Formats: sequence, structure tokens, C-alpha cells
Amino acid sequence: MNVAMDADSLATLKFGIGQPVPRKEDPTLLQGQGRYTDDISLSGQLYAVIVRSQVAHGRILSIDTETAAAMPGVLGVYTGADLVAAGFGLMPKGLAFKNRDGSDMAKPDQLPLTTDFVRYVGDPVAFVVAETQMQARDAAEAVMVDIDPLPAVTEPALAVEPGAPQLYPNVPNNLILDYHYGDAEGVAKAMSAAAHVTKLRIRNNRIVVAQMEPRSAIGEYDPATDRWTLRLGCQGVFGMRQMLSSVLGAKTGNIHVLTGHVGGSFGMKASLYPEYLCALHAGRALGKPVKWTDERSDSFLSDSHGRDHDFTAELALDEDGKFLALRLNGFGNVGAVMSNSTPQPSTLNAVKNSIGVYRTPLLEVNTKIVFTNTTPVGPYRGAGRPEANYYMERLIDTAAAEMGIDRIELRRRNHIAADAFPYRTPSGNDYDSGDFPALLDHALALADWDNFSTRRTESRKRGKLRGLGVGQYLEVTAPPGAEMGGIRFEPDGAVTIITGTLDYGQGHATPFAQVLSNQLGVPFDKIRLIQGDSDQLIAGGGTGGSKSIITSGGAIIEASGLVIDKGKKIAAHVLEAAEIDIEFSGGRFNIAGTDRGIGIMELAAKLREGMQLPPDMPTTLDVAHIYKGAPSSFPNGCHVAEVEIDPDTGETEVVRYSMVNDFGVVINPLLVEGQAHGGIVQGIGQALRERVVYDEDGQLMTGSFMDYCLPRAVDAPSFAFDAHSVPARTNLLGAKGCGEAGCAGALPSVMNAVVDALSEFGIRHIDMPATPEAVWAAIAAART
Amino acid sequence: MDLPQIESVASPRSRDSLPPWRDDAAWLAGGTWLFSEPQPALRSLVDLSAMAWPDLEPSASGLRIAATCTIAALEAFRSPADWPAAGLFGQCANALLGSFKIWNMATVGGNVCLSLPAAPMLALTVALDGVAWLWQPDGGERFLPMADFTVGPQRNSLRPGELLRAIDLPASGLRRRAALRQASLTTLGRSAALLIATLDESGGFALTITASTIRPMHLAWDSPPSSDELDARIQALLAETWFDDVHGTPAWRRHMTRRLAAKLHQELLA
Repeated sequence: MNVAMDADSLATLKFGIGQPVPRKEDPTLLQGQGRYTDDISLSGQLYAVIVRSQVAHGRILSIDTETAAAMPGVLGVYTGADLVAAGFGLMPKGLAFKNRDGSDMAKPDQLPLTTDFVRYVGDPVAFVVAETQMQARDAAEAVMVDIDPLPAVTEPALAVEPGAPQLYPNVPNNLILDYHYGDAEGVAKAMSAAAHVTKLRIRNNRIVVAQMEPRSAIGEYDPATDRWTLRLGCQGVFGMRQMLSSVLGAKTGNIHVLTGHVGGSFGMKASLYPEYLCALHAGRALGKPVKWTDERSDSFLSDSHGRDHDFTAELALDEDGKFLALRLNGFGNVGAVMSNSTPQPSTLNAVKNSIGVYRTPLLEVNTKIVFTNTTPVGPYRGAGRPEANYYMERLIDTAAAEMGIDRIELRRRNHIAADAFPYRTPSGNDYDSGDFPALLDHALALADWDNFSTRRTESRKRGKLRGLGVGQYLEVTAPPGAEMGGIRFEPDGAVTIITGTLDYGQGHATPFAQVLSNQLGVPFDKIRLIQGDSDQLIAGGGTGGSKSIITSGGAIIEASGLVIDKGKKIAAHVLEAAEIDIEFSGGRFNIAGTDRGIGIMELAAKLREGMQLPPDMPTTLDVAHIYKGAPSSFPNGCHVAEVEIDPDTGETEVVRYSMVNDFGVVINPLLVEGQAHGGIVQGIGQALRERVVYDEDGQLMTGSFMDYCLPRAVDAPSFAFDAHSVPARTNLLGAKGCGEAGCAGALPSVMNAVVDALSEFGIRHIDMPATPEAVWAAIAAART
Repeated sequence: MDLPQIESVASPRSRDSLPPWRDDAAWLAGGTWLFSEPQPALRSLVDLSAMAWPDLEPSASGLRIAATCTIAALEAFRSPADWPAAGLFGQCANALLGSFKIWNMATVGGNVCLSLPAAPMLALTVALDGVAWLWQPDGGERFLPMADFTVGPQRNSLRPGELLRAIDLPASGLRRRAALRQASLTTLGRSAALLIATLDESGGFALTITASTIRPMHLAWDSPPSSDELDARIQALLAETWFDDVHGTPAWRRHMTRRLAAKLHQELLA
């Protein structure tokens, strides 16, 4: 046996698909050697600080920049009028939806910096550029913005009332979109004929994203080439370049977007923000790079928030507990400005994801998307998916209690059967795979569901209530889209993957390398990843919606096929054989039926050395391919949470947490489990701790980590994690996205556990966050 | 943040050199709050740091805490062994939830004079029968029990131009046994209720309630009350006494106060 081949085979196994390979970037990041945007300092770099509105709503009377402009080190003070004069256009208007009457949704014009009205606390109105950060900060405080305050409105239900403060003159009643989906007549009939209808008003609390790395950007302009360069943390440089193009009025070829390490985003950094345009404007006006980095206090105001839906959810059931129809009526609060995903989370994603794993013939969703004088709301880990699953799972537990049916039995009666695929849901999705009943059983076994009563008794001896909750979710992930699969054999012997998804903490370099290594037999350690340079991309959908392994993985697989096709031609020449006789396996091109062959890395080396080739022969193995994409995937799972509640204080602790997930083919279980852990902790945070609170004037009352509670390590137990995988049939890897699933399972399982613990008081529902005060108040109210 | 509208800053070194009081002036000690948000009404600051008052002056009669004493200095104080209540210093410093940077700048006087319901230095000084030493703008002075210092959220009994020079904690207070309980909606979050109970050698029992009430409530008994008596006094507090903000509703704060008080009672009298 060839010893070298054996070592390669072992390496392939070690770094192959399904192996828990640690992230390539861990040593760099853990040694503090990561290179985030703010770590970059360019020659001659200047510093920008944003001036923001301190009132939630008002007319701008004047912006006095004179004093600030005269302060030491200050090189420029700019307002929205300056950006308009410089030719900057309107901000992107995001997604296009239709109202229920078929008309287009409202899309008011929005400038990068407002010039007439401020509409939320934190609304940027000016920016100062100086030689140092401190000079810019000092001068920003000297910019005098005279605002005539106007009444503010923060709640969407109030914002649509006649007489409410109006944010935009051409958006009557602040109503952006009156969204409708489904068979309203059929649902109404089902509701009226149902043996039972469960109805809940469910609030999905607004939360702060709170990523570790604040937003930061460096803007530059080269007049010689008429080229803009923006360095920033984002979720995809290709898409960011497209958005910049529309505002700058520049061709995409004249815009260069660069992203290094990104310290978290969760959807928030996908949008184009005004600050980036300010840095670019100043970069051109002053002829030097201009850096802006947010401070945490401003992040609370200026980073898009998450969630903030208010729905009345109804589930109709027949006498046997079979689901007949689901209806959601409610509001989506999008804040004062559109983000790039407005209004998807509480409309389309509510439609797609609320049915979950259950056979439910009819669905109706009605959502009023409303402007309010609050920070803009954007995508946040799931962007409507966890919310929708939460509605359904809360309805099921409530219906079970109301109908006297065991909550697990009720789920079993309504599961989509394992042999029902492909299964078309009333939301129009075609589920391709899954085994929801067996997965539930697997999760219950992992959670030791049957012995819960023993644990509850033990808790009661300590004066604690104990509750058990299940959250069985299904998410519609990986929105279809094209993606680049680039493979380049480098002069130094490395192989570079070039793709347009973007890692903001997920660890893409490792599973992508595992896929490429699996496809081409390229040594794992030789594989690099380029993802954050728009000049290198010919396509790129960015990262979001748990899509990266499916889109980039698929792109790598297809590109690998093209590499093999090219390699066979070249290998045939090298081996003096017919191309048709060349086989590729284990990283080698071999003549079929012989032991003669050449390894792909050896072949690449020969090409680099300038091997003579016939005229029609490819001269490199490099490939730049556009993968057309795959349909959505449908990851699903069942999470089981167990909580203890101190009835005297309302303090709730998650004491056990188990999950079984179907992520299809898992490329790297270590990273997948990490994704689940992070999502669960964020879910626990939303369920028990986090909430954004505004006062009636639109001032943010929870604007620091002293006032806004992020979950901490002590708030989560160790997790029991297992898989019940059914490969997806819709993509080349068989994978299903995992990035948002933790939230999708945590919200319902934790809250169902809380309600279960409180059920002895007759409590059927409590809204998130179940803070000690909220739980105590619910108990107190039930006792009186 | 900077306060760009400030036109003058005085740095007196003695009482004699204090500038005449102006309504648009503020005393500046650590500045951790003063510089944390815009102060549009202010035009003048009087920086007290140059006064160089000794932070802490222990004596047989008790402990004098200068208004300019930092939280860090108070926390670091090594008290005589017969002042067990001085153990509260560290607990109240921690209740401030500040970083070491804040501890090194924020002052006892600043925390007291800001008069927020959750101000832990208020809780401390009220609980230990502190007396405020106030300098009056006409050169006079007066002494005010700390229990009467605060009258509501960010409102106190300081008259225009009065300066908190120091707070005297009597030795009798420091010799008491003491215990502190704190409740918050969140782990390490802002206090929603902060209670201190003390017990002296003769059986005198006192409970100081802060954070859950709009101002410190000091309840005292010459002899230990029963748990029912203690609870009855708390329940007798007027409804408008209980503070309401994002960190807790009045009903929950009231409930937590009763609960914490019961635990303090049990701890000190068990």
C-alpha cells in the first residue's frame, strides 16, 4: 500500500464531512489577533462622530455647525443637505410587498441623513470629522441642533389610530403595509365550525441585538480612478456594494467593499446604514480615509432592533383535536425608518413558518406594518421564523389545556407524517423531508420526559414550582439565490475558495474547507477562504437566513466538478491517456484500471511551473462559477426546557435543556452545536430577560446594559444535544440550515415550561419576557 | 461627554475662596453623572477637588466621610473591629454596579446629592444614622439627619447654594450589627429594592428601605419588632411611596421589600 496515500486518506477522514473540526480562525481570534474594522488604521486616517437626535420626533429648525467647525482638529462638519448637494441619493427601499387591495406598500423617500424631521432618538442629523477621535467627539457635542419637538408614538396599535402623530406625510396613519395572506373566507368558516378555537394575544418583545463588535466603517475615495472603498463589518460585500451603488449613483465596478473579521451581527449588519455613507462622503470631501466606529451607548439607539410583533393568534380544532385553521392578526413595528428586510419578518416569514411541523389545512395572516418613533427594526436571528414557531407552539399548549388533551398527544395527532413528503403547506412551501413524530419521541427520551414528575416533586420540597415545555419547530431557511463558487490554486501551493457568503462568527472557513477537501482531496490545511472582498466576487448572496452551507457549499461542489473536468483534460495530457479514461478519486486523476495517476496538487504545481500544453487545453485548474442556488431547506427539531420558579419572587431558572435537531447532513457537528447553543441562549434571553422599553415620549429607557438585561452564562444550563437527521433532498449537500434554530426552539420550549409551572394557578399564558416581576404579578393576579 | 456651554470653572482651595453662588452653577466632585449627559441649564462649575478634604476621618465619635470621598476610598476603608456595620461599605459600593473606573471617580457626596431612589450611599448613610454637614452660602452651616435629606426622586433638602461638606456616621451606628438585601429584575441589574437592617446592643432595630421607595424610608423600633409588626409597618406605607420605573412596578417592589425585610429580620434576630 502507498504510505503517502494512506496519510492523505487519514487526513481526509480527519477533516472530512461530518468531522467536528475546530474553526480555522480560533487561534487568531483567541490570541486577540483578529482584524476587525476598527483595528484597521490607514495612513492619514481621520475620524468621524455622528450627531444624533435627542428627541423622538420633531421638526429640525436649524443645525448650527459653526462652533464645531472652528474647534481644534476639525476638518469638516456635514449635514444631510451636504450629502444631497454631493449627489447622494435616497436610501434603498428594501423589499416590495402589496397591500391586501393590490396596491403597492408605502415607501417614503429616506435620505441618508434627515434634513427636515427627526423621527427617533438616535436619528443621525450631522457628522463631524476631525484629526482625532477625541477632537471629533468634542466637536460633535458643539453642534447645536434646534428641534421643535412633536408628539411621539411608539406603539403600532396607537400609531394607526386617527390623530396619532404622523411620521411621514405620505404614509397616512403610519401604515406602511396592510398585509394579507391566505384564504380568509375558508379560515372564517373553519373557525366558526370548529369544535374549539384557542385564541391568544401574543407579544413578541422588541430586543437589542447586542453583538460584541460595534458597527464600524472606513470610507475612502480615489479621484484618480473615481473609485470608492468602504471597509466595514457586514453580512455580504456583494450585496452591500449593490446598495451603495444606488445611493452613491456609482457603478458597482467603482465601488470596493472590504470586510475582515466581524464580531457578530445576527442580521443587524446586513443593512446599509447612514454612517457608512457619511464616512464615504467625508472620505471624498477631505481626500483621506475617514473612520467611524459606534459606541455601545449609540449602538442601543442606532443599530436596528429585533422582533417587536403584536399578534392575536387563533387555532381552530375539531373535536378530536385535529387542526383546522390558523389565523394571525396583528402588527409589526418597524420603527421610524425602513431597513432592508422591512417588512418581511412579521409578514412573509410569519406565513412561511407558523405552520411548522403540523398538518394545518388553512392559514391566514394579516399584518399591519407600522412606522413608530422608535429605532428601526431589522432582521434578528430568525427574522420572523422563531416568532412564527412560537405562536403555533404556544397555541398548541394552550389548546391542549383548554381541551383536556395531553399536549404531546395533541402534537402527535397533528404531525405531518414521515411518509407524507413532499408535502405542500398552505403557505405554499414544499417540505421535502423530515420525521417529526420520531424526532419528538427522540427529544422526549433525551429530556427524560417521563420522569419529570419525580423532579417536580423534588422541586416542590424546596418551595419551587417546576415546569416542562416542548417547542417543536420548523424553519423555512436558506432563501434561494445565486452564489459564487470560486476555486483558485495559488502560487504558494494553497487553494483558495472564493464565495459571497460572509462569516460574522459562524466559522465558514472550516466547513467550506471540509466540503472542498471532500470533493477534491485538497489538504484541509492548504485551503483558504476569501469572502470579504467585492472585487473578487462575480456573485454573492451574503449570509442570512441560515443559508451559507447550502449556498456556498453547493457552489463549492459545483465548482469542484468544473475543476475536475478541467483537471481530467490536463491529466490526460500529462499521463498520455485519453480523457475519457481519466477518473478522479481521492484527490487523484488516475487512468482507469491502472495504478498510473497524478494528484491534484501535483498537477496544480506542474501548471504553475509552466507546463507546456496543447492550444485548446485549460492552463489552470481555477474556476469562477456562479451556482444558481437551491430551494429553501426546512430544518426542524424539538427542544425541551425545564424551569424552576420561585413563586415568592417570580425568579425563573432554566434548569434542564435538551434538544434534538434535524439539520440534514451535518458538515461540522462542532460548529453546528455551537450555533445551537448561541441561539438557545439568545432565545432564553428574549424569553426571560430582554426587553426594549420606551417611555411615552419615545425616549429609550433601556439604553445600557445596566437597564437592559442580556442573558449570562449562569442563565443557561448545560445543554443535551442530539441529532435526528433526515438529509434534505433539495440541495447538493443534503444540509439544512442551523443558524437560527436555537432561537426557534428556545422561545416556545422555555415559555411553555414557564406556563406549565404556573398552570396550577390557572395561568394559561404569560408574555415574554417572563421577568421575575411578570411571573410574580401573574401569580398574584391568579391568586386574587 | 463635554459640557460645551460651561463658561467658567472655579477651583477653590478653601471655604473662603468659594465663589458666590449662581443658579446656573453646579458643584463638581467626581463628575461621573454630571458629565454623563447634557446639562443645558449649567454655565458654571465649582470644582471641589482642590479643597483636598480628607476622605475619611475616623474618631471616637464615629466616622466623617467627606463629600468628595470616592467610592473606592470608602470601600477600601479598614474599620475598627468594633464597627461591624462598616461591612456595609463594600456591599453598598458593589450595589452601585459601577466599574473600577467609576469607583475611582464617583463620590459619596455625589451619589447622595443626586438623590436617586437606588443610590446606595443614601441607603448606607440613612441606615447608620448619618448626619449631613452642610455649608450654607452665607458662611453658616447646618446639620441635617440623612433620613431627612432626600424628599423624592432626584429631590433633596439642599437649599440653593448649600454645599454638602461631609456626612458623619456616629459610632453608635457603626457598632450595630447590620445586614443588606438587594433585589433586581436582572442579574447584577439596577436595584429595585435595597434594604439595610441594623440591630444595636440594646435591641434597637431599624430598617432602611431604598430603591423600592421614592425616598429612603427609615423605620425604627426601640426593641426588636415581631415579624408581623415589621411587615405591618411596611404595609402601612402610603401607596405613593413605592417607586415606579422600568426596573419594577410599585406592587412588585412592595412585595420584594416585604420579603427582603422578613429575611433581614430573620438574619439579625435569629
